[in-house]
Amino acid sequence: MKTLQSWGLGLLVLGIVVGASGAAFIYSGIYNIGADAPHTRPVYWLIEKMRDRSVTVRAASINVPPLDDSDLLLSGGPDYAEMCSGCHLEPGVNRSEIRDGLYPQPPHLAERSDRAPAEVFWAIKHGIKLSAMPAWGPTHTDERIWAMVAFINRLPDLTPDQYQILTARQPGGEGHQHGSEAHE
Amino acid sequence: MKLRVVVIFSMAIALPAFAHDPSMHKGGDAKTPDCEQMEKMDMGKLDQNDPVMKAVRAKCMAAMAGDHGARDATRADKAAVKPAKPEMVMPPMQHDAM
Repeated sequence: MKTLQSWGLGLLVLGIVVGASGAAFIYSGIYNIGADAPHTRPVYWLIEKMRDRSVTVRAASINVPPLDDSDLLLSGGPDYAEMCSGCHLEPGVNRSEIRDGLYPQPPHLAERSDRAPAEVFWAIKHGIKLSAMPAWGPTHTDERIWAMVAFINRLPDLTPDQYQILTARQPGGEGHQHGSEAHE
Repeated sequence: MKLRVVVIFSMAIALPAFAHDPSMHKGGDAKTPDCEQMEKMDMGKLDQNDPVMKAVRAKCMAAMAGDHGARDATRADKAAVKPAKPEMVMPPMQHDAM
């Protein structure tokens, strides 16, 4: 009984010490939150692992529609150019002004990777907390987002010329409008 | 005088810090597709059933149709505003001279 009480007291004291230390750490402002001050490797690993697992678990239940449709590429291309290329680049481009200052640096989507379409969809729709990746779901329908996923899926295959053709908007064509496509 | 030299020298060093390659602002948002590049593509080597090729063809055909439509519209506009011929104004006949 005495042993149990000792353990309980010990845990309580430990909890108070840990809590107080955490509060002191936070309120001191000692941790540099600047985007130009990288995390330590263990912290970066932890955050990255948490992000990847969160997206994977939530995207697991998403049904991926057929993406091999030229109409999806025609719709997704201009949207990608206007909404994504500044950070995620395009074929033949390896830098952008905004990308140089972002942390974590956005993936170069014109480079090959093993990104699952469902996870790409989820990330576009819901965004990523505490990163520069916005949630496009509140302003874009699922159909429009899937078109972007289809385009991103083929992006590593495109030459710069093909990219230019597919991302150009036709004169008088549908422009980029926000607010009217909200989708729950 | 020394201050002026220092200021000018400092500006000369600082200016490149603001300069950057304007092409960094270039996004893939060209207004019209550059379909001339399609002519350079070796179509024999490309899979014409590939969704990318289908989309490229569709985009370029739509762009060409748009160009033809624009040219036709321009011709129609020119025909509609054809200037009227000025009326011939005859000088009055001078019977006295006859």
